[in-house]
Amino acid sequence: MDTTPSKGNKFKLPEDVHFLNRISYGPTPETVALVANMGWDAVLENQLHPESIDTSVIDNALILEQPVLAFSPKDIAESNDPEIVSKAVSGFVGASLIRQLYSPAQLYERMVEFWSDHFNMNILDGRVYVFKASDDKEAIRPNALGKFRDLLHANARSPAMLLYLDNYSNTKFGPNENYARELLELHTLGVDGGYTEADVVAVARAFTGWTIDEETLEFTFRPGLHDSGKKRVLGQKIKTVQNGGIGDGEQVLDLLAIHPSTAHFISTKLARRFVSDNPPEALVADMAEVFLETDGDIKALLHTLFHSDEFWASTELKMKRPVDLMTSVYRRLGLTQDDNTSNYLRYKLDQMGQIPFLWETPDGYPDTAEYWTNTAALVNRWNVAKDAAYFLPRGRYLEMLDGANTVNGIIQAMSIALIDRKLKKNELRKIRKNIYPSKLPNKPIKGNLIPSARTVAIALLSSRYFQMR
Amino acid sequence: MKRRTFLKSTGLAGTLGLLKPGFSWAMGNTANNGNILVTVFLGGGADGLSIVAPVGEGSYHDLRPTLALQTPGSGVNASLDVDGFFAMHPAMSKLHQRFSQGELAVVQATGLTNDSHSHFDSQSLMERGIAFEQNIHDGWLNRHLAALSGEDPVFHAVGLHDSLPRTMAGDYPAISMSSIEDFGLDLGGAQEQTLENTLSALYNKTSLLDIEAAKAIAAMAELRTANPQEHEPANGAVYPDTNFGQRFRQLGQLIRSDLGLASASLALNGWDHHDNEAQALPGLLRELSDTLDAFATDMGTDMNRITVVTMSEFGRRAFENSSAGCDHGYGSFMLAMGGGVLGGQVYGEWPGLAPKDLVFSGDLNITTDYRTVLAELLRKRFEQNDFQQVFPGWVPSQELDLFVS
Repeated sequence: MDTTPSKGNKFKLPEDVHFLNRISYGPTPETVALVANMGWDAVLENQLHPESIDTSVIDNALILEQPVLAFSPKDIAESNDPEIVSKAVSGFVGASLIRQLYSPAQLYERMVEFWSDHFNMNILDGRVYVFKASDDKEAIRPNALGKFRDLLHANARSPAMLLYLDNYSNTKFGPNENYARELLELHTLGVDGGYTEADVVAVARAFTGWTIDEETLEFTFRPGLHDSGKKRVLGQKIKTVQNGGIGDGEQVLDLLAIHPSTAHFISTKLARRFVSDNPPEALVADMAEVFLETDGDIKALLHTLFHSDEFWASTELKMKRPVDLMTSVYRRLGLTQDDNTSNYLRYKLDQMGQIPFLWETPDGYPDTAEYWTNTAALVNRWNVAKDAAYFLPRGRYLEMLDGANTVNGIIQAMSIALIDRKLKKNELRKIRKNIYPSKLPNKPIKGNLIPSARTVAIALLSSRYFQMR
Repeated sequence: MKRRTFLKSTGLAGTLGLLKPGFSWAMGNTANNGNILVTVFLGGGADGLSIVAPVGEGSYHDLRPTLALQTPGSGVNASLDVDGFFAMHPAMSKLHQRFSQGELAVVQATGLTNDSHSHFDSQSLMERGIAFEQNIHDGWLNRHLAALSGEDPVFHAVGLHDSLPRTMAGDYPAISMSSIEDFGLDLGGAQEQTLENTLSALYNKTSLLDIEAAKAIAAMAELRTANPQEHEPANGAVYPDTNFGQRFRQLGQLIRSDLGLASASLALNGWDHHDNEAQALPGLLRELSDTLDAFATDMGTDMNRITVVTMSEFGRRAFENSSAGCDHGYGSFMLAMGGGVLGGQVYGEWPGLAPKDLVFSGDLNITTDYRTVLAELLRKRFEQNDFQQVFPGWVPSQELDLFVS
């Protein structure tokens, strides 16, 4: 299906804004100014090193507001609080959204989201809620911009994943293939990555005994449950090592982490997230090569991606997912988190079907326009535009109008403020004819300018120029 | 001719945004006989062997020492006898009653003849109506509608779903809505009209986004006039207060509003029972059973023109695993209820569960391609004869004689 926007009548979007649309959760006046001053490549280098970015304000505020974020799985499991489940879930989901909205380490948050989708688990599936926050803290965040191999190992040992994909109960007495299959299909090689049903069975056997300790609620390996028989995976013999058998699974992970199919699959997914739904094969091939040369160095992959011609030629090719849309509205309009807007955010994400960590199946929230573009979604998106335009106080409209009082002046001022460009004649005329049918384009209009400016704002925020990034 | 091709070749694409309620979408001769097709996808791989279980087969009880359904008449948790060999899960008491009254039929050992065992591959293939990867991106139901399409109303095809189901995606314009209530701008009066007109003008090109926007605008206007929410469920029908139940309630409202609905797709997910299946299954089955039952009650005699059919991407492994669940399998089941269904029977050749009868890693075999069931339904009830268009590359096989026209 054709998901690329039509050519022609295309507005020139400043490069800085394109860059910010992709590495962050939406441009703000501050980040636009920052990129203008520093240059995008310097901002990129800075964003690739989140350890040098001070996030203490937001970290401290979150801990104060959501004490549950400091809880270990054991604290959550043993809590007497009857509302512990909803506190653990909404505390964690809320904190993730707040970081996306306000953290200065924006690219880092984007990568945390990327890997959370890649290693998706549904926080409401069974007791995953007990473990998911610590999975985020210990498996995803420390490795989000590190080496893929480390991320893969951390994920394989993560109690949240052991539980979600049932490996905790995978034993030599009764293998459970769920994790093994998704490890090959979704986490590493990809469905066409060249593995067989026999590989799935062998990989499942390799991970027998990888489970969760009932006492500590931490990862443990139980040699007594491990199938120590011979195994071949992807044509390679798994060596028997003298460590009770945990080496079987570790060898499988190492084999997969540097496999060319994995390099291709991860590169494709990254390019799909940051460039376009059907990423150019040349870019994917370049990235896959970097992946193999650098042992899956995620920073190096992103560096290649953002310096590619394909990236700079992909302006507004990505449909915003609901989280992208909501965060970009909040960031663009400078909405803060009070009770109203925070409830509204969650309500809308629920309605549009993308509350973080609630996708049921292990493939993660879809990343192509095809899934997110349909009549129901558009009606929801236009309602967000409407609500946002009504959230904005009069003072903000006056700021955005910046003295403009003619029809064309109002439309262009709103356009610069909301979609970062001046409209071309053709689109300017369409808005003018519908919203100001009886007014002359360049004559000052009398009376209250806000109601019509609000309708213009709804139209602009509803348009493709705000729905795409 | 496909609609998009048509629009491009005539240069009419730019006028899409001018469509108003009551305008038709496509050109050609319609073949709309008033029958309605409702497809239900059971996402996750529903375990046919615990739903319509072969309790009469000895191997079944050997393969599933803890999960096998208890034979009919054996106590409170006993399964419900179907034909002396198969029995339904006790949570399906309402559908069992419909079966006994001849309104519901079961097909066993059916499904997608592809052994990928991947949820995502299997569901995607099934929704596209193919068994092996081909360069085909639209859904089988969309192609069915495209092949017949005439002067169709905006609400001819509706996915009551979070997104547009793949089954319905493609050139034929289907509407997706997650709920009737949320499908509108709710601004009132002149401003709403102004905004709709502005959006029509801005979304006037030919990309997916433009096409969906034009449909959304036309559909919002149509719903404003029809006001489906004024229709309360009839005949004392009570739908479960779940997402799935409430979507079926709204499907009933859309049908009652005479919007010209001819196809609807819904989904009930969550059937991926790798562990503790006995705890998880009853709730889902009850939701499925009570919802379909409420829908049949609500629709009353209109059920004579409505046919509901269910499918799942695969069944589950014949033997249970160590977590009291079942891994991904192959053969599964389908249900058909309503108009034209010759109910009260289990269809399909039973391949058996003896070791020699199992396939792949210990899976129930498939003896009836799921498309055999769908093709018979489309041919007899929806005047479809072009199966190369609907199921490309598939050679129709002997029908099960499960439907009458």
